[in-house]
Amino acid sequence: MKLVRFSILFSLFAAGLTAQGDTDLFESRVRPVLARHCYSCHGVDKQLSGLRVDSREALMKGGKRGAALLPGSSAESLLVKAIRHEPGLTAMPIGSGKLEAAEISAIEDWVRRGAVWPASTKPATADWYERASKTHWSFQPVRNPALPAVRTGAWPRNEIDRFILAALEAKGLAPAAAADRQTLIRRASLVLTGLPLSEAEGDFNRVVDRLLDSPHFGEQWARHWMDVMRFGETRGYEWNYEIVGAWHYRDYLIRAFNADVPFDQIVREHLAGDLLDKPRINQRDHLNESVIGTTFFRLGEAGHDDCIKFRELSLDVVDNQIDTLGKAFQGLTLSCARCHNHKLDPIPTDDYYGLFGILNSSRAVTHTIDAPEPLTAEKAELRSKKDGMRAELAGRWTAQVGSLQPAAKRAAFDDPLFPWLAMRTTTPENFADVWRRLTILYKDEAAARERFNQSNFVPYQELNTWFADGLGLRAGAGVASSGDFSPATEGDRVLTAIVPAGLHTNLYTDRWNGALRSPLLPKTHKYVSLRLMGGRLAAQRTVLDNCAIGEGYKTLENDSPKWLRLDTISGEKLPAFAEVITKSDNPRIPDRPGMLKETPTELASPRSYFGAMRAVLHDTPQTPREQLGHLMRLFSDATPPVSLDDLAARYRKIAQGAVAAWAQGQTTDDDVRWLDSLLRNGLLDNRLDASPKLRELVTAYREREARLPQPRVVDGMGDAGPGFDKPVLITGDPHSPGATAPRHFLSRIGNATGPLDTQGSGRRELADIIASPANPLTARVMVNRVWHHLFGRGLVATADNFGREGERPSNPELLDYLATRFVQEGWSVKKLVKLIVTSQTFQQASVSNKAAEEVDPRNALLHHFPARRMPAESVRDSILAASGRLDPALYGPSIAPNRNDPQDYRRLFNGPLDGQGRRSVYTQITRMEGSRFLETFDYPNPMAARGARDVTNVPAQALAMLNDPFVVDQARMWSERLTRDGATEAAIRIDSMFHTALGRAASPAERARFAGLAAEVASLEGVSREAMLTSVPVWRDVAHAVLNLKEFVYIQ
Amino acid sequence: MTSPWFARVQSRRQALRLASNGFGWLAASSLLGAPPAREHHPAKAKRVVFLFMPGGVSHMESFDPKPKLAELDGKPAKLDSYVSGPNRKWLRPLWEFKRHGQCGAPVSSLFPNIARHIDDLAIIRSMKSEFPLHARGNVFLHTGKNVGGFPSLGSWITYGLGAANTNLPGYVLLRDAYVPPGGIENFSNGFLPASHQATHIRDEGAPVDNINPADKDGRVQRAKLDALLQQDRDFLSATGGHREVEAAIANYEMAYRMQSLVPDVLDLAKESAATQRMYGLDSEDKPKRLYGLQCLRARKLLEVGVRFVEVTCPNLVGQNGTWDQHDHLQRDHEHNALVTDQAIAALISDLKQRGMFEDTLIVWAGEFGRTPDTGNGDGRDHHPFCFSIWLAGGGIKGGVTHGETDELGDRVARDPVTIHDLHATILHTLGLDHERLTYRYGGRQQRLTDVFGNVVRPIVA
Repeated sequence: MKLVRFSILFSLFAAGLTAQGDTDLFESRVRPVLARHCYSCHGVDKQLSGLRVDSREALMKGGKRGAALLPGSSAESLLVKAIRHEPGLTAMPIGSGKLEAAEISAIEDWVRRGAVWPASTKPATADWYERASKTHWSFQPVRNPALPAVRTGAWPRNEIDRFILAALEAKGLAPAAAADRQTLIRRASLVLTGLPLSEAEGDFNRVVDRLLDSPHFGEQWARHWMDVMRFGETRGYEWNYEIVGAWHYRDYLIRAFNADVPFDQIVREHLAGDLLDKPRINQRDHLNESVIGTTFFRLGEAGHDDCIKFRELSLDVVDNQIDTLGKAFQGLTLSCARCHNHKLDPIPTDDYYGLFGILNSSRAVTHTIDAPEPLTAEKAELRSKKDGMRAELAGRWTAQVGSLQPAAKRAAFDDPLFPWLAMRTTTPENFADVWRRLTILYKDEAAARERFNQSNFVPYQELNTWFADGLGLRAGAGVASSGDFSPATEGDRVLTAIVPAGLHTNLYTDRWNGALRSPLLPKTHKYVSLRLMGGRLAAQRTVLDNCAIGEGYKTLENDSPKWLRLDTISGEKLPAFAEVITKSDNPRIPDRPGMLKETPTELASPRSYFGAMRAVLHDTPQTPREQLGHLMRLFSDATPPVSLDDLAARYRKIAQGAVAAWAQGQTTDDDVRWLDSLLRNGLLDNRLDASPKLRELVTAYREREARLPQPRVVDGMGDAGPGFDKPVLITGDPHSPGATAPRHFLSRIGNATGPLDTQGSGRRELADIIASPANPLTARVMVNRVWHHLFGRGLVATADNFGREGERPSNPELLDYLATRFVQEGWSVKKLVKLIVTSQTFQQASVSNKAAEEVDPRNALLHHFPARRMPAESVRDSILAASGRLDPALYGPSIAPNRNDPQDYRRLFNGPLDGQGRRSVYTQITRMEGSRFLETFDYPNPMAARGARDVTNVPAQALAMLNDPFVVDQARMWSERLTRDGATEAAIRIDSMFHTALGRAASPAERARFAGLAAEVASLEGVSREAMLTSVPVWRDVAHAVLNLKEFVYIQ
Repeated sequence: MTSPWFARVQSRRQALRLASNGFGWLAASSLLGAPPAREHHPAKAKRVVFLFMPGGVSHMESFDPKPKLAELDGKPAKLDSYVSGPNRKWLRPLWEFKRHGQCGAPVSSLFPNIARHIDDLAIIRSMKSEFPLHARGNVFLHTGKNVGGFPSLGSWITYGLGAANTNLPGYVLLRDAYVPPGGIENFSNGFLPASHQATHIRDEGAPVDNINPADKDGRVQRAKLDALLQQDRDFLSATGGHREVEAAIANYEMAYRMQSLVPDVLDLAKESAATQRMYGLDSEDKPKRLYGLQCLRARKLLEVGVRFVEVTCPNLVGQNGTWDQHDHLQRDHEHNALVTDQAIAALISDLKQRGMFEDTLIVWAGEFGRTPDTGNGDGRDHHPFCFSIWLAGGGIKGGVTHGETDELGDRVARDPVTIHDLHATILHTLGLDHERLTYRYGGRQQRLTDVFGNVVRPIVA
């Protein structure tokens, strides 16, 4: 487990050290220094001069020169003398220069105070790790054991039963009798789909097949996996930002389990779904399924904190990813190795930071999950419609500019209309002189700006080498040549802008999204400036060290290009990249209250867009100055204008030239400056109703545009550019980097490898290592999870810990048999489930016998089927099923839980009492406060992987069933149906209620018991005997009692 | 309490008295962990009331006067802090301090009523935390960890001491609708058994989830429970006496009793008008009335044997905790003090007059203090580098001020006290050694104080 890591920064303020302070002093200021500067020559690998300095004993024993440490006396300790560079000794450390004064004095202080070296931190020895690697059961390859011999040969139905029976017989135990058919069908239905099946025909195997084919199977098993993935839909902390598209990930799991996607494929998709050669494409929904898997990395908590000031905080995010990855796929507590070598399993810190490097080399980004169809036909169709619009507009404009009279309310210096405004009031006699001076001014200024820009700015990577995602940028959709334009998709304009060459997300529609990300920013310059245009909550920002929801994005609010500056954060060694994103790719939106001025309608709009032209690096705080080349058309004519009319004619001529170029598709960026200015100043027609033809063309365009797909976006992990290694952080302290840990996975467990041979992050290779049949843990861990969900307890009871601290398997041979078969049968979860459910072991009755209880009280050997209370979701879903309210619809955005105290500003919204009748898997999981009803029944808090839920048994559950408005309301709904069923006597109705709720008939005694209850309630409520059968309150009470039966919430 | 249904279950109660440590909030049969520790040394305190001040009370405007700031007011401030920036200015303390009691400790005019008890208080001026963010700070203050999933102080204490009244939960949280940053994790039992989780009692509406019977006619509920009990007993025998089913049946008995017992414990009818006035229940200020109500409930719960009662502050304006005044410092600190000061003083007086003060530990603390400088002239920001808290009652020396900060109230100058030290000290007063109160989980002997913590001896009686 991890220690809390406190930054040295804060603890330096501590004065007056105490006994505990000695440990702190050692851990914070002595050990890191020794580790960084000394261990490499005087540690586990090398002992130059026979000296080791990695334990107190070793220091006191010393090397060739004798004891290096005399606790209490710094003056007499060779260690201190050597680092002080006292004469007569080799000045230490060699090579890296003398230690800082503060480091030396800390070591002196530590020696003086008795050189406390906490006992628990003896260095782990290589030998011990070696032994653990070679002996611990789960680290050994999976064997395919022979089927054991059994005495009761008639009992086994399949191979599983041989292993179970052999283990029982070895203890002198016998299995239980078979369960009756009704019980068995209800049991199978509840564990396979989470819902009680009301009726079933055919033999049991057929029933199982139908359950496996039910779409509810996917819901149930997705939900199981979501526990392991600490699935949440908001990020917690102060503001509970939403995790982008988390529900898509949930739906992805449902589809994957329903389609029985091989589990090794699911693993690959989780770890590197964005990097697979052949992503799994869902043709029906046009989705790239594989890439959605990577959302798993992003499902944990995350704050809006600053990555620089609070380094630990972003490390915690990665630690949570490592913790989840380790537990989920390998059943290992990897995050124990964050601060020290794992104490129980052979996992050195080097392994932790090797994995850390892989994850840190990947980026926390949004992925557009639409299938990578190039949408060629759509784009061609729209392109041809745009050509039509362009031709029509060009025709009108050509006519317009023939009589163009320049005009503008105001204009900036670089605007083509500025000179016009400047000259407009000049008297005729001064005109030539003023024009001459204006010309000089512009030429000088143009040269000065050119010089300024050339000397202060270095071109950065061409934008087409950046990493682009989103429908608006994919497959060339965003590549604009000069003069391309963005059609207005609503309102009374034809187009929103004529754009310069660059990447633009809105060349077809402003509903398409885009994310443009730079390579890792160089640390050579303080700033990167981007030439951008955009609006409707498109934004730009620098993302430092994957702090995906850090503060500091800037929204774009300019429809003409502008230089906008971003900090490269060059003072920090941490990786940073720049990104320009449309609204749907901004994980900060919806932002917390007060951060954005947009109305809810504007926030909800699917429209957002940007265009990006260039990028430069610089140190000066100014951005590049607008260049004036396009204005030289006015000033470089051999015969300067001598009057305002002359000048107007000049403007006309230039405008005619620009329009002609545009009409012929030969526009330059300088033409664009002119066209943009003319459009902006109303000198070119841009009104939809300028002609009936134009209106017709635009209407047709918009009709087609409306049918374009709306992009779907999720948070995920992406690779961009080369990976990099990270140093081991000594004691987990971000301020104490140690030796570099090359990117690799476990070095001592299973199909271990050395450093990964990769230019990328290494996730692709990591996926191969984990999803390999040679990995001793992956299949075993998953097989055990399936077993756990079917029996309520895994063959290994600690489902998330297969390490030495975990429990040993109750039937190791069976576990290996299943793991082998699982892999042989193509990692098919459905085949595995079927094998288990059709075993005689699963089909035992749930009643135990006394003798067996004494020998095996925990029923670890499964001498009967273990009865248990349903999980939270099944409790709620069963109530909905009984009342008739259940809406079996699949998929879609989640439904907020019903709350007593909604707090909208923290995104704790209120939802309907009955959750719209949808299954619990669709109830939104909000950190900070979740669904009270579900949590009462041990719905997990989504903080860490949870392969085995708590199973509590507390009065709050009884109170919820008795008094929660949801339960009472469902009883009423059920009653409303019951009282319309036309039953002529209570007993018949009660029998049907038993069928509905318990999947069985009511016995005569039970009919009498509940008919008695109905009569008693009726009499208390003053309902006559005649009216009783149609009284909603009476039958609500009876229904409420039935929902409260233990049998109703137990899987037997 | 003598319904036919209840009479019938009486006969079975012996059998149903499983491993229960009481009435609600019970451990699951499958979750019973290691047996609770016993006292490690004689306890001075038997119970705790934690007055949680979320958001960050300004230390230099409560218990740590900084006259230097009055001199510097408005001048550019340079602090080594996460909020440092070019436009920051020192801000003078907005409230005056006066010396109080025999010990003569200064208290600001924000807290006139608490000040009357100054000779009973041990003020720590040298608290330091690690995180200038609410969520981390709160979770750290409650669990000693900066991430979720670990047991809260109250859970550790009920785990360590067991229940004093087996009919009541060990750890009760008295709160308003607002959950402080960090969320329910602040009050979680973490890996400790579920019986140690906080039971939430809200100030408005139903105090405990689902505690009000859905059946308005008690006889209807009894009729249902009668039928249920018969049916469930048949089911129990059909399962061969399944222990969990048996416990679940027992839970219905307990739930039934809770419906009347919880309101009974919280019933104010037995409290005199004078007592109610003392807590401010007659106030025209609604948050003040509600906070007074929660403090009075705290006393009643402590009185009937609840081990650990935590009271949060009503969240009035700040979105991240009551005392989080980045702006409107004057207005909102003033209102928060108005809401809390009288009831807290009343709680101390009330415990005294009932002879409970000597063995009840009172802790008044938030997650951090506030900056001595200001960015907007009208508020202060988060300051974990030093802040003030106080303790009183069982095991605590009164009239003591421990630790010092520098003249700006920026950093601890002497005797720093960490959150782990605070936890160690709280456990110490209860007779628990923080190094020996452990629970095995995740491969380690887990401790509230992890590998840290020292008892703050100078404030311990």
